[in-house]
Amino acid sequence: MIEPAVTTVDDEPTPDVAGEPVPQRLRAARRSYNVVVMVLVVGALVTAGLALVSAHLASSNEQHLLNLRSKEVASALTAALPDVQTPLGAAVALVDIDGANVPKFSQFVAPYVGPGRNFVSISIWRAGHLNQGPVAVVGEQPELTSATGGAAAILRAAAKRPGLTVRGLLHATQPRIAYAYSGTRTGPFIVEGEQALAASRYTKLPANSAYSNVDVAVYIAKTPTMHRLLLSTVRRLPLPGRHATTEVAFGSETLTVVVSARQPLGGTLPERLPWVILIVGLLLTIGAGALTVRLIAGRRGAQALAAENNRLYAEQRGIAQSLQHALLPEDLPKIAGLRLAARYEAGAPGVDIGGDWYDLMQLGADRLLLVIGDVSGRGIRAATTMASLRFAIQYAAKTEPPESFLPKLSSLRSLRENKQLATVLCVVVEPKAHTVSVTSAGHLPPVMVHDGQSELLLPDVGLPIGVDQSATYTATTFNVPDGATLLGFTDGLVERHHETLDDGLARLCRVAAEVNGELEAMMAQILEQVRGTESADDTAIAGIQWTN
Amino acid sequence: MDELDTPPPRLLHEIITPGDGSVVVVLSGELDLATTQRLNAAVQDAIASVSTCLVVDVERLEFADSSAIALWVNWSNRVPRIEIRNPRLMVRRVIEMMGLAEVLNPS
Repeated sequence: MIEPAVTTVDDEPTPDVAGEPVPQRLRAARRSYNVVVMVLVVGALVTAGLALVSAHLASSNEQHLLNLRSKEVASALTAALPDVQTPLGAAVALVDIDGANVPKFSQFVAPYVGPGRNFVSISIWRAGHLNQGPVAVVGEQPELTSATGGAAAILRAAAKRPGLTVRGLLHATQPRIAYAYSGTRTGPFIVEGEQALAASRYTKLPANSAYSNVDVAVYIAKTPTMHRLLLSTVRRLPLPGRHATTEVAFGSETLTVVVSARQPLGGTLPERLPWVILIVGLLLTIGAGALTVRLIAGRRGAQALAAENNRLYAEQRGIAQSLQHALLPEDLPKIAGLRLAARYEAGAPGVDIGGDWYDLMQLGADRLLLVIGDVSGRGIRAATTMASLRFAIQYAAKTEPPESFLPKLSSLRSLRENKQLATVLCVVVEPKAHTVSVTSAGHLPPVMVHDGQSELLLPDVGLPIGVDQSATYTATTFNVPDGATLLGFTDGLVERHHETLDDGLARLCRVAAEVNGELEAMMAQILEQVRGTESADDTAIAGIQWTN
Repeated sequence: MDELDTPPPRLLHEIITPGDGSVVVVLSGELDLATTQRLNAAVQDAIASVSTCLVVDVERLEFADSSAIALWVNWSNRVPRIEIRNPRLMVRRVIEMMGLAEVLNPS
C-alpha cells in the first residue's frame, strides 16, 4: 500500500499577484491611482503656493516702488513753491516799505505776469480795507473776488498768518490758484497772485522725463475729486490699476499726489515670475504624475513577472513531483505471508526533487523483488533517469537475477549523457525459504529488525550504476526469522550534514529496534524520528514484514 | 584561488601541476550539485592534461554529496588513475559504502 507523498506545492506559499481575487486587484489599482492623484495634488498645491508667494512679493515690491515714486513727485511739486513765493514775498516787502507805491510795484511784478509766465494776475490789497477791493492790479482782474465767501474773507484769513496762503481752485471754467502773501511783520498790505490752469488740466510729460514710466494726477485737496484736480498726465481719471497716494502740504492747502505705473517699475520679470513658476510647476507636476504612473506600471510588471516566475517554478516543481509520483508503483503486490509497504517523502519546500525510487514486484509465483534506488543530482534529469532505471529493471528482472542485469544498466543513455551515478539495492525475497538475497550497486545496506533487535544486512557492494559497464555484482544471502522486518531506504533517511553515514545508520538501527507495531506504523515512526524535520533531501523507504 | 560561488564562496579550488604528468586539485568548502557543475567547467583543461594521476585533495572539503562522488567517478573515466586524498571520515565512508574505494582510491 502506498501512502501518497506530501505534495509540498500545496503547502508552499507562492505570492501570486496574477492569481489575486478581483476585488483585491481593484483595491490595488485604486491605491496606485490614489498615489498618482496625491502626487498631482501636492505638486499643484506647492506650485500654487510658490506662485502666490512670488506674486505677493512682486506686488508688495511694486507698491513700494510706486510709493517712492509718488513721494518723489510730491517733493518735486513742493520744490516748485519758491517760484511762487519769492516774487510775491519780494513784492509785499516792497509795498510795505514804499507804502503802496503803485508804479514801482507794477514795474517789479510785470516780468512775472502775462501769458506763459507764472501769474495771470498780481494785486495789492490793504489789510483792514479789504472790502474796498484791490489797491492795484497787474494783469487780469483777480478771480478771488468771485470766490465763495468773497475775497475779503479769504484775505482776512491770510492776513492773520504770515507767509503763503494758497486757495484753489477758483472759477470753474478758467480755473486759477490764488496765492496770498502777507509779510512776516504783519504790515498793512497783502499781495495776491493768481495762476491760471489749462482748461483740460491734461499735461503731457516729455518722453525723456524722469517720470515717464508713471502716470500722475495731482489734486489740491485731501480727497481727490475732479473739481480739485490740478494736473493729470492721463485724459481719463481716475488712474487705472495700482496706484500710490501721497499728501503733502502746499502753503495752507494740501496737495494729493496719485501715481500709477505705466509698466512694472521693478521690471517685467517679477511680474511674470508667478506665471513662470505656475507653468513650470504644473509641467513638473504633470511630469511627476506621469513618472509615478510609469513607476507603478513598472512595479506591477515586476510583480507580475515575479508571480509568473513563481508560478512557473511551482509548475515545474509540480510537474517533476507529479512525474515522480507517476513513476512510482501504484499498487503493491500481495503475497501470502508478507506485509509490504513503501513511502516516498519529498525534500524540503524549495528543494528540487531528487531521483529516489522504490519498487516491489512479484517474480513468478512466490518470489518478490524489492528495489530501492537513488540517482545522483536533482530535478527533471534525475527523475527521468530514475524512470529509465526503474522500467529497465522491471523488464530485466522478469528473466534475470539482479547480479546479471545490474551491469547492463550502466549503458542506459540518460545515465551516460547526464554523467549521473545511481545506487541500487535489490532484495530478492523467498518467503517459503525464509531467505533474502541482497545485491547492492553502491547502495546503503538494508536494516533487519527482529525481536527488539536490529542489524544491517551487509552484502558485497558493487560499483554504483554508471561507473563501469563491466562491473560485477554478487548476491549475498541472509536468513530471515519469523516476524522479522526488512527495510530498504535511500540516504535521505540517514544523511545529515557534519555527520558520517555510520552515525546516521547507527541512529536508524537504534530507532528501528525501539519501534514496534505493524509495518506501516513502524515506517511512520522511523521516518519521523530518524529523518528529522531538517532533512532537505527526499527519501524513499520500502519494507517487508514476515507475518507468520 | 578561484571563487566558484559568490557570495559567499561555498567552494574554493586550486590547481597544482607538479610537472610529472599528474595534476593536484585542492578543494575546500562544500561540493554539491550546485558547485560541482562550476567546478567541472573550471578544471576541464587541467584534467585533460593529466597523463599519470589526478589527485583530488579533499582534506578541507567539509561536505560532499552524491553528485560530488558522481563527478569524481566521471573524472576517473578520463584519467589513467584518480586518487581522492585525505578525505574526512564522512566522505571516506560514503565512498566505501558506495563500493567506490577501488575506483576513487581514497588515501
